[in-house]
Amino acid sequence: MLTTVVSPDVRSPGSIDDAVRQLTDLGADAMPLAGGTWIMRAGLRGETPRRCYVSLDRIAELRRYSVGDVVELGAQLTHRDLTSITTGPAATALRQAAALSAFPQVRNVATLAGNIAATGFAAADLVPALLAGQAEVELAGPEGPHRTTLASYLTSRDQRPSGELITAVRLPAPPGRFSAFERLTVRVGGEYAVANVAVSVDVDAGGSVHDARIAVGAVEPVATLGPARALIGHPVGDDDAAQAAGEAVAAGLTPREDPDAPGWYRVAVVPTLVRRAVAQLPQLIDH
Amino acid sequence: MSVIGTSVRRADGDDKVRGAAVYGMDYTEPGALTARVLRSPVPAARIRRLDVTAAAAMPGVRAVVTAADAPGRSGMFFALRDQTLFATDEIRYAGEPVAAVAADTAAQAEAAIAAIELDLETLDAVLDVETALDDGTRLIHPDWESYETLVPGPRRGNLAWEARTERGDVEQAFREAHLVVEDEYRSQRQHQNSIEPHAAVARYENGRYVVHTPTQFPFNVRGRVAQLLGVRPSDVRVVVPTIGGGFGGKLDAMLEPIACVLAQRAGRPVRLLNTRAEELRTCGPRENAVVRLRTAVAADGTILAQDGLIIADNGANSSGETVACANVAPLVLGGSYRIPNARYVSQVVYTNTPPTAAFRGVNAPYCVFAQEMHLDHIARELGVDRRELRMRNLLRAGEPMVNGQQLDDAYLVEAMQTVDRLRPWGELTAASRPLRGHAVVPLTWITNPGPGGAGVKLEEDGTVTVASAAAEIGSGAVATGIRQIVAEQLGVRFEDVNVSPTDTDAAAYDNGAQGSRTTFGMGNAALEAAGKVREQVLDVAAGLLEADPADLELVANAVRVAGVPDRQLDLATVAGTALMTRGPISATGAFVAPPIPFDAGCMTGALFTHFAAATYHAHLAEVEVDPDTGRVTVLRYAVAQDVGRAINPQMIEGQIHGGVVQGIGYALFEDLRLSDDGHVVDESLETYRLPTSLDVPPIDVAILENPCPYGPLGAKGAAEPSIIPVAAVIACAVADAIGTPIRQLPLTPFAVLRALREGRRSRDL
Amino acid sequence: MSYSFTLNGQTVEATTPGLTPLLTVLRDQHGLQGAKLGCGEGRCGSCTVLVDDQPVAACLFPVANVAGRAVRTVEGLAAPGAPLTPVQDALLDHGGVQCGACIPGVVMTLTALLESEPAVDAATAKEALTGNICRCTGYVKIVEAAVAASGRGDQA
Ligand SMILES: Cc1cc2nc3c(=O)[nH]c(=O)nc-3n(C[C@H](O)[C@@H](O)[C@H](O)COP(=O)(O)OP(=O)(O)OC[C@H]3O[C@@H](n4cnc5c(N)ncnc54)[C@H](O)[C@@H]3O)c2cc1C
Ligand code: FES
Ligand code: FES
Repeated sequence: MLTTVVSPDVRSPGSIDDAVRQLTDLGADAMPLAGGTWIMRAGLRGETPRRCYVSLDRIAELRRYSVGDVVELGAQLTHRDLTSITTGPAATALRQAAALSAFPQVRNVATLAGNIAATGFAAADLVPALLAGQAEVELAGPEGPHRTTLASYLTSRDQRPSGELITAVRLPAPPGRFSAFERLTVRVGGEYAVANVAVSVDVDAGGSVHDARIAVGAVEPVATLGPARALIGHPVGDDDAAQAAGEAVAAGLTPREDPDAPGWYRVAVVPTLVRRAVAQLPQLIDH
Repeated sequence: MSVIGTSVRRADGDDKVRGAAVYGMDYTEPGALTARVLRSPVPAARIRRLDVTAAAAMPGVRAVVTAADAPGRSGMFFALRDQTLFATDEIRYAGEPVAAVAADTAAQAEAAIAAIELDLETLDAVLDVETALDDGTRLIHPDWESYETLVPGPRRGNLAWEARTERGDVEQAFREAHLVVEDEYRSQRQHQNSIEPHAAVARYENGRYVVHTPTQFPFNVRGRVAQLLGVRPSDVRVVVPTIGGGFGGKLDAMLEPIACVLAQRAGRPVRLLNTRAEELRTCGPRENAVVRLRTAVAADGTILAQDGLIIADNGANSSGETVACANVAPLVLGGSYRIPNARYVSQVVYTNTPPTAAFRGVNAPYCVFAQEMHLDHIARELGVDRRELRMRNLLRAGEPMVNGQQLDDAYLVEAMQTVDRLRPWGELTAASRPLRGHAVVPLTWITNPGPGGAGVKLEEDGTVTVASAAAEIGSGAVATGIRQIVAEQLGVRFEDVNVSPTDTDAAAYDNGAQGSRTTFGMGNAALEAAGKVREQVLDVAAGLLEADPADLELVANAVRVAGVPDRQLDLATVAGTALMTRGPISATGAFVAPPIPFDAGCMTGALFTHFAAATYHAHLAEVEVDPDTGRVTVLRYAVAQDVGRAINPQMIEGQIHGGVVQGIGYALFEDLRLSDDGHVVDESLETYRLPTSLDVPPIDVAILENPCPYGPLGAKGAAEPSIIPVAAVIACAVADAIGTPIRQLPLTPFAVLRALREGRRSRDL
Repeated sequence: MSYSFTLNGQTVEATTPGLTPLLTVLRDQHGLQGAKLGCGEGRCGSCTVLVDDQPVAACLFPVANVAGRAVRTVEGLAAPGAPLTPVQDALLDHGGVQCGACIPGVVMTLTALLESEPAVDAATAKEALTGNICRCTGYVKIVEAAVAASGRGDQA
């Protein structure tokens, strides 16, 4: 618990450049510290802490955001911040994911980038919402700023170069895009999702889906995009299409086994969560 | 106006809401060392070598202790003395204490623990009760025959204890029955998880151990520490800071004896505080159990006979209450319904798992779960309404329960009728539809009859102080109940009654905050003492007022001549005068529940033989099941509970809400699992799920007053029982909703979804 | 390292490694024992304090991140001897306190809720309390107290 001496050093640079420089100098001995809700539990997970952490808390630019055809969200925005930013329906899933994750004490602290970068955290709620929305991450590093898709970032988290930092997330918000998020827990709430699902669709003027993405988290070790073809060409909210899509997504999943929930169950509820997410969409359009 | 029946604020509340109350987990002493415990990494092993020399020589280390420092053998309530403080030659569960260290800092203590050399030869672990009972299974306590017991009890090998209750001619009844139904049910371990973990701060002073610990039962801790250390109980003094929850988990000595022996060796105070993981891994949970019931019924649903086998997991030793409470199972199975012929065998079995212990509603929730699911099975077979079947067999006033004890004040019918007024069964049944279910369950329960003594004195300023070693566990029994009773008896304001801090040196024996007994038992003792104080006051005042004591009354902190308001004296004057004329006004009172006739001959191995100050209950639940996810939602809940007399209705409601919600956790998701290699799986609150505010349905509460002739002002115990019927009533309602019987707790979404699919499959066949 | 922040309105310095949990700093260095170490895992809420007026789990909050911020604990609500705050008062009035180990955390969560929501109903209170485990009360009376303290008196 808390009695063990926690001695790692923490630096608190005031700019992205300084953070990158310090992280680069320290190399594998260091990692960024955001809200700390994941890092502070390293001991409970049996991990040895790094020698040094570089806190991003004092870097004001990491809390910026802008809303437009692309929603640009600073790395240090908390889950709570994300629930209160007014964005369009393309970001509904993200807002819902942020609002439904954990509970207030965590949502007030845990950050957007921390959620993405927490390796080993299969149930991260923001991640499927961002994946379904085709998000990209903006990175700063010794080689300067660059950008990559969230999907490719997630699968390369273990091999990121030292000195690299997520500075922001870009979520495209083209007209006609709608999204929704669903999660399932054993209790009513306040815990990791057994499975979480985000659906993002592009709807034409006639109310028919012409492109769609479904992302699933918590089931496999890392959230993934599943096949969403079954939704395409159907009216938005079509239940049969949603069921078909849900089953197709579930069929492609290889669940993890851990004490939170049996693997078969995580997969078994995915079609239902897809259906429920899809069922939300027509109301969003009516708004 | 009488203070009885009013919802006064708790006397300890102000400090609690300000964050000023000092809990056991907050308490420390100047110069206190930090202790750490070396616990076994495996569930079963022989200790080949244990060497603490290197550890003892490490920087900052002030004491290292092992089995050699604590020679005694003990067991909870001294029922079965099979426990040593530290593993001696053999390891019997993962987490068993092997050695302990006290050092200047936590880091030093941890380093010393790591430096202890422990060489183990692992043994095959016996992890489940059924294997443990098989012929040829390795004996977990090869020396079991040599252990001392409090009463004789049948036991052999891995069968740690057996309690039996038998009446009538069971076989005959089965032969003549219209229908015989047989079922088996299983239930999990449930952990108390008080927000405050176990904590102890000990010092050795003038040749005695002084230990501050947030225990529910200071005199038990005193006795257990003494027995484990091989000293006299009076060599130990237990002082209780504010307690941060217990629910049975803080009845027994856990960290106290370790802290005591370390403090004595180190010559310094020693503080020991559990982490949450240690709590979950090593502090005794409610026992897992298997219940097999076979019942003979007549065509109209009348129960003719019941044959029951309850196999409860004791874990590795009897440091918890499971053995002591073994006979609670027969009493609760045969306490609510008329069962003229019965045979109940309650077995408590050793396994290489952490010892199980008391949790609110000891040994009962899974018995009631089994009984009620089983009755629903019978109702289904006979095609009778489930409530109707229960009403037909419910014990009426004057009828005997299974031990032959006549329940003169049985109030089960009234309790069932009360919940029916809250949530009419007929309407619920008429409105029933797929995936919606409802159920109702009656219950008879005990008030712990144990002894307690109190002192009451009138202070010079006219206030009153109660000296008591009763522990305020949070229920308000000390913070409100006892004070209200004494205030009423002496006509003083509630705020003018103080209660001494809980200290085994300062007050008489008390049987602990368990089985709802504090307001009942300590209330009675304090009432008696206050009655004597009252007489002394009247005597002194009669002289001063030149009146007959019989004409005097105690009202508003004064003594006055009835009907003559201006002839009165305030209590301060009476107390001051008494000091100089007769000596201080003070008295003591004592209580133990009076004997109750029952048929002692029908029971063997029973430490609990009857239900003192029995209380009567009915619970009703309405649930909905999500067919796609298996998730159960409790839509509504209703409780009717007989409390004898409601001293503080608000506190009683709070106890009922709290018990119901703990019961919902037990019914739906709480499950302290063990892995295939004998380790606790759920060692954090991530997978050990506790109910949150969102899991609570609307709860209707009806408090019934059915006074107990020997309860203080008619009161009976009120705090414990609300947890007991919850899993049963929810499981019956879920089974009703999904049309598939439930045989195992908890009803996780995983279990329910599987049941739904299997039910669907079997209907398709 | 040394971190400067305000604690119940006063500027304080904490000299300690930056990853030290805020809870340890409050309890061990400032003698503020109101917030409890119930689990150290972020899952019980008994350590809840307010950082810049928002509830956080102090057992997981690195002290480095409170630098320059305002921390409020239960001790900062009603001065010793001064009247209780509406939340504290309502909890006692409604019987929402049993053992009380969760209560300092509950008080802070509800204080933040009432400061940010003009009218709290039962559903909002339950939602806000999701991170505060109370093993004793079953939450019913705590929720009633929250609604009453917000002055709406609507207990739906
Ligand atoms: C009890 C509890 C329950 C929770 N439940 C949920 C839940 O249900 N759903 C949910 O989504 N979350 C939940 N969380 C939050 C969870 O810890 C993470 O999701 C959280 O988002 C991590 O964010 P953080 O800011 O706290 O990250 P930190 O702990 O500070 O960091 C996490 C990781 O991200 C890295 N990192 C942080 N920022 C950056 C950056 N800008 N660039 C590169 N790497 C970075 C860190 O180096 C570290 O490896 C819960 C937390 C707790 C304590
Ligand atoms: S102690 Fe911080 S959440 Fe439990
Ligand atoms: S009052 Fe005991 S945990 Fe809430």
